[in-house]
Amino acid sequence: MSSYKLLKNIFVDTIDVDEYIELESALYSYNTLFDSISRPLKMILLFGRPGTGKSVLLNRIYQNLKYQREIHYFDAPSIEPREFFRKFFKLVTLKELPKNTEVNFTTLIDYCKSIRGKREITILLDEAQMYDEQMLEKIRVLSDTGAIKFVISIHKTQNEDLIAKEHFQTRIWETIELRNISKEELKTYIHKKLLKRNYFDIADTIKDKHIHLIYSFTKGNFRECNKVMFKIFEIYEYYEAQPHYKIEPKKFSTKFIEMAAIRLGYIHV
Amino acid sequence: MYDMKELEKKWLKYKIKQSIPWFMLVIVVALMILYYNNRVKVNTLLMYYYDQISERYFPKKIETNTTIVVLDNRSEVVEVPLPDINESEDELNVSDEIFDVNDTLYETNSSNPFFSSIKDAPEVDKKTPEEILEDEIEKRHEKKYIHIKKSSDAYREVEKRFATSQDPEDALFLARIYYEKKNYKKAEEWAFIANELNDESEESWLIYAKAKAARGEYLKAIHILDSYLQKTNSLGARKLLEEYKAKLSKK
Repeated sequence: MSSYKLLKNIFVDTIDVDEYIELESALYSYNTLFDSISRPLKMILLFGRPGTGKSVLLNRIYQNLKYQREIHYFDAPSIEPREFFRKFFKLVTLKELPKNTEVNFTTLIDYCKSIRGKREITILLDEAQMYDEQMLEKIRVLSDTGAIKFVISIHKTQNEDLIAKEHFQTRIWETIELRNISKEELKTYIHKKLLKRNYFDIADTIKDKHIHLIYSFTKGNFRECNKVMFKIFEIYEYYEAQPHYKIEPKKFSTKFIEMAAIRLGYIHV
Repeated sequence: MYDMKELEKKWLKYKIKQSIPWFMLVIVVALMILYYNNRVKVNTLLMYYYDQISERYFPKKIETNTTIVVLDNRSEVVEVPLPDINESEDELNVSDEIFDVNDTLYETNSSNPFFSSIKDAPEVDKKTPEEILEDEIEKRHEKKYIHIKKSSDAYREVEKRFATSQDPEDALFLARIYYEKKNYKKAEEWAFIANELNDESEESWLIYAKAKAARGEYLKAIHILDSYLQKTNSLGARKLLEEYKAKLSKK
């Protein structure tokens, strides 16, 4: 298999904990969230623009705490309330909901109240902006029981900020904002990703000027960075297969970065 | 896999687009450097072509490297070198003719009524002749307004003025200037006009004769001087007449 094919796969956008790269800013966010979960808070809001690492952070917290406490990760939002409460019912009561039955919300609330002080359940809700207002209102009521702690991850947009303010203003006790990483961190991120798979030579060819160029397109967004890096190595893979094209192995191609940027629409020609 | 050839074409287009401002900048900087390095050469070249063209299509009648000082309220117009105008009045190469009247101050002849009047003046007014001369010059300069113009403009102005004023002094001035500039035909014309207006002006006779002689017409010059000598006993005219006769005999 082409080495460039393997290289491009390193940058496939995933929330796999094994692919997690420890960065200073990410470590700070992790510690803040970890502390917040440890404290008796009803709701924690995790917000930031898409690709800032919210899902990765939630997943990492989940993986690290799942054997220590009662924590559950809702990665994909359940659009249908029925499905959400079925899932919720199961993890709270530890029982399957009988077929052709629906969760009685009032009963569920009562149940949650009954376990207050006995159990401490943490629910990590990813992509919470997908839930409608009615669902968010029910989540708020559930958190008010004091038995369920919600970590809500939402995208930071004007509307989503509004949702956060309107529904959780009085209940969210901790907010954690994730931001795009700096240029230096982007360099560390790319290098660490490559070094993790022992691509020392390739990592060594990626200099500051390349990082500067990549940063100018991605603005330090993990998802965008992964997309660009994936595309760069895809282009490498193509040219490697061309008999008349000679790739310089000791020099990372600025041309390929720009071509990737054109392909991804960062550069409009 | 998407069309890589197309992507490469787009990339090439992008690079060209990206390099245009730099390319323009390089051209501008190069032009600026070239301009500053060759400014003198270019100016000289331009001046050369300008002179060539103007000489060919607009032949110079009068040289333009002099400045004319026109003294208002007087018919006298004096030519002075251009650079000296702004420096000091002492440096102005003003013709002595302006100060003809004051020349008498140097005379020691006690019979001169002007000199006598100075001698008889009160004690406080006693000044050396040089001081009096300086005072007189100052007074004259206080009253005069000096306009500095390019010679070609000044000549044109005097010629224009002459059309209405018919001032023999102006005609004589033009005759004198044209003669100095070796434009003898013009000098002859203006000397003739000056003489028509005032046939007692010796200078008009002499310039007329000198212009004729300069054009090789010695016989006519001799005839003019003869005519003038019948009226006066001018030493200058006689001297010129002898000179021309001698030149004619050599021919």
